[in-house]
Amino acid sequence: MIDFLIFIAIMAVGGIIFGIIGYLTTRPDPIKEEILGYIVGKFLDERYFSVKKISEALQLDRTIVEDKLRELEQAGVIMKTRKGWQLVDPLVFLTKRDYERALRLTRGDNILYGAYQLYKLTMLEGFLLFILILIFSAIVPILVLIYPPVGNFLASIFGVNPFLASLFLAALLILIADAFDNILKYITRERYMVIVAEHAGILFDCYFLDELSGYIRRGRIRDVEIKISRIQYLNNWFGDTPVGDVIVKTVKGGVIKKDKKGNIEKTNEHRFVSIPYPRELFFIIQSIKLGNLQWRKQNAPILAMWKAGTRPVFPTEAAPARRRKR
Amino acid sequence: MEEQKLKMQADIERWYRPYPALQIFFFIMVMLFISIFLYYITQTIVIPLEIIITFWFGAASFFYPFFIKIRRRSAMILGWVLYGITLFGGVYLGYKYLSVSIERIREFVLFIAVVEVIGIELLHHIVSELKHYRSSKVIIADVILSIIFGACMFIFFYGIPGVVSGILDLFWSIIVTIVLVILFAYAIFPERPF
Repeated sequence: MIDFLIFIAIMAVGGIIFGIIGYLTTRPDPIKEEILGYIVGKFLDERYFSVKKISEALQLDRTIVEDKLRELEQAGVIMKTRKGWQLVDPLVFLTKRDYERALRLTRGDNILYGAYQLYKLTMLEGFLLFILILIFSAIVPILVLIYPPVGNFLASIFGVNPFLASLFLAALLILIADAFDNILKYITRERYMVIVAEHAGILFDCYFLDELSGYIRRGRIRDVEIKISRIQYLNNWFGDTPVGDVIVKTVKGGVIKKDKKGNIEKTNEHRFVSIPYPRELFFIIQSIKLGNLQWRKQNAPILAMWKAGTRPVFPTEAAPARRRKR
Repeated sequence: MEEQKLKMQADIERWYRPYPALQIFFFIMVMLFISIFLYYITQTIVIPLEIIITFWFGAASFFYPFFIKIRRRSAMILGWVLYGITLFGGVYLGYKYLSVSIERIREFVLFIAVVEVIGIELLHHIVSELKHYRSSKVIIADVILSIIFGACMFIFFYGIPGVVSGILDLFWSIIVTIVLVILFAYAIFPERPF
């Protein structure tokens, strides 16, 4: 009984310690939020700014501003360039290298959205890895417990407690799966890039190692649709990054695509597969189609704060006030 | 275009996720199913209550991030709490049932390595923001953890001369340790979001 109470106490201590860590790490950061709000409000279109400008405008110490800017750089909200700090649009989910590539290819156009298409391979791979991890990490230790020959075999190889050896195998499998996932993400996600620029329109990679050779001029966009498949719904419900397909319809021959040999193909429609945050891409494309970036201006602070993680706690919509019965 | 149509909710992800009540309902249903499964298991096999409780919390920590997508502070803190309970419970069970002690040095170091791997992977799973958070502190912590993992693996495979012998010779112990440390470091180092 005492053993059991000790066990409960140990678990409770663990919960309390990590609860406190969680409490401390999820605290909102008002200074960062203030700096970010200022940057997004003032430099959304100019984009370049300096530490001095911000510290003077907000009456904050320069070292504090520098620290917060570095944190924002980590979150991919701003970027340090030769001209100074630069605001990256909140809906740009590209690596620094690819963002610079996109800026170069659009001749410094204002990039409003940038992401990689998460091809089916990535999603299928994620699902298969999940199943594999689940099976091996659970079944090997269970087999050791219920079927002694497996335990004896593991003990003869590793020379330790068979259950511990089975846990070690499970841990190794998790590591391999994680490393494999990283490699696959690198290979697939960072290749099929889509960007939406204010003047250039929509640019996209047509094949592996492409340099944004596909494009749709903004004046040629006729309609935009979002299509979310059942698998994507499942991914959006249980996965990390919400995805969906975005279909852009154009006037005749509005979609220009090049293959590896340089042959040009013109179509009237293009489907961007498993795009992260498709609803936001839809709004951005609608905005450039109409030539009105008001939506972006209105929502940029919220999007930037969401991306920077300065506001992990989003205000929930207030419930309608109950009427008092007289 | 109507202003109303373009008006965005404060929470950008809300549009993609199920309603919070539905998320909680799914999670409760899964945990209920696991509880019933554990109940029937205990009816056929005698398993100590401590193992059952730790397994239950382990399952809760595993399924929590899949079902609960509520971006509220309380939900995030609950994830941390579940992690702490599972980690401490697991270490206690290891100490008690696997007879892990400093005297049995190879088992001891293997246990540390297993706790490191499962602990970090579970933490990255529950607090996914940590997986992407790159700062000097995080990188130093990852380097230290990789060194500890490497030392544990080397002792496990090669042993300590004059104290305990391992299962591989010096050459293969070094090779296997290097491969595993690279794998470990690559898996735990911060990765890019999206």
